[in-house]
Amino acid sequence: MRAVAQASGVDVVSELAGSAFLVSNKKGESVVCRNMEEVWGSIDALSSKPPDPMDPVFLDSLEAK
Amino acid sequence: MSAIPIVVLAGSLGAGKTTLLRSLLQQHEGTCHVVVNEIGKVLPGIGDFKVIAESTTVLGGGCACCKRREDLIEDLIAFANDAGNADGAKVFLELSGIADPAPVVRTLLEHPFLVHHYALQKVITVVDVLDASNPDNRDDLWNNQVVLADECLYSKTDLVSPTTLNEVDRLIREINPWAVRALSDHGKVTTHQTATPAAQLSGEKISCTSAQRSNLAAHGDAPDVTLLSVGETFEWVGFGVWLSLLLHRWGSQVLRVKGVVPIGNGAGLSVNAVHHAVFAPEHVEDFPADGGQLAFITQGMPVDLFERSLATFASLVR
Repeated sequence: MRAVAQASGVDVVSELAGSAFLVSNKKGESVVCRNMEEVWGSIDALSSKPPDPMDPVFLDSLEAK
Repeated sequence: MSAIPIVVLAGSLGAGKTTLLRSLLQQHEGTCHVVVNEIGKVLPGIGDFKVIAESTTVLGGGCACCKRREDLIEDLIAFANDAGNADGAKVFLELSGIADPAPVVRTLLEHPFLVHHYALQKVITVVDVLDASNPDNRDDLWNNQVVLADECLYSKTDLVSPTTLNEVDRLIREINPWAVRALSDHGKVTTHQTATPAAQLSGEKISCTSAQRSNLAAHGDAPDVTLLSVGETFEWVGFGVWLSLLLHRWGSQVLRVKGVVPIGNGAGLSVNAVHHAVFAPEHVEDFPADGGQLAFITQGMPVDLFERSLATFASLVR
């Protein structure tokens, strides 16, 4: 999940012993999320290029890692 | 308290859902509750169920998938609170002929109360073969009713030729390869045909060509079926991340995801999703490590990217 977020220019780290996630971008904005659905929603909000598993360009950038 | 099994009956107007319901009720032992959804005014004959079922609710004047959804939720909550503890308690929900089962299934999976008190056992779609043999009748709603089915029951088979029956059966297998298909004689299941054996499905992706698609549905935009086989190297964590993002981004176009994937030690885990909602996975014993299979029924998605996309996400974990 972290690699996917990073390909969208956002970072995700696990917080509170794995019970929450902190999604943050390079502008210093951050959101605490409790589940995967919230994580994806926050990544969409904080990223300028939200991840799309059906976008060949996005897959290219993941495969380059 | 264990979850109350619920069976959803779908199918077009006049396909024979009520006939099937009567037959199912006669076979069932234990407390059962029937919810009948009618689009129009409630017909006088509907009270007949009271003879067999202990409680009946009729949701009239609108579809349970939209207009009467709140009433359906309230009714199910009330039944769970009143009688849910009884042994063998079961609910049969007969949808109106123009109801899309998808929102109802999602409600059962996503509603904070219902998800803990009810277990969706199966969706049975009654297919009126005579009706379905006419392409004009195979619209988006018809597609959705077939795609959501765990079982397709063919009714009015005596009104069509065997060739027509085979043709309709072929169409249904194309858009829903896992459904158990059966023939019905006035609500009684006469012949069971098992779902297409996994061996026949595995290995290749069947995605309808545009020519087949126009053949499949004259009015509706027929769904694409993509089958992926997954072997011993299946990466569960990567798959979970991938599926959650896929449904987040494309959920409205993912009509159904269904399959079983290997999790090692000869076991498998069922994967089942409808739009954005995912069913709780179930453990499958004695599952061959190389027999995993996933089917995606989608509408308007770049289906040729499924395999690559999943492989890319899996490789991030390895």
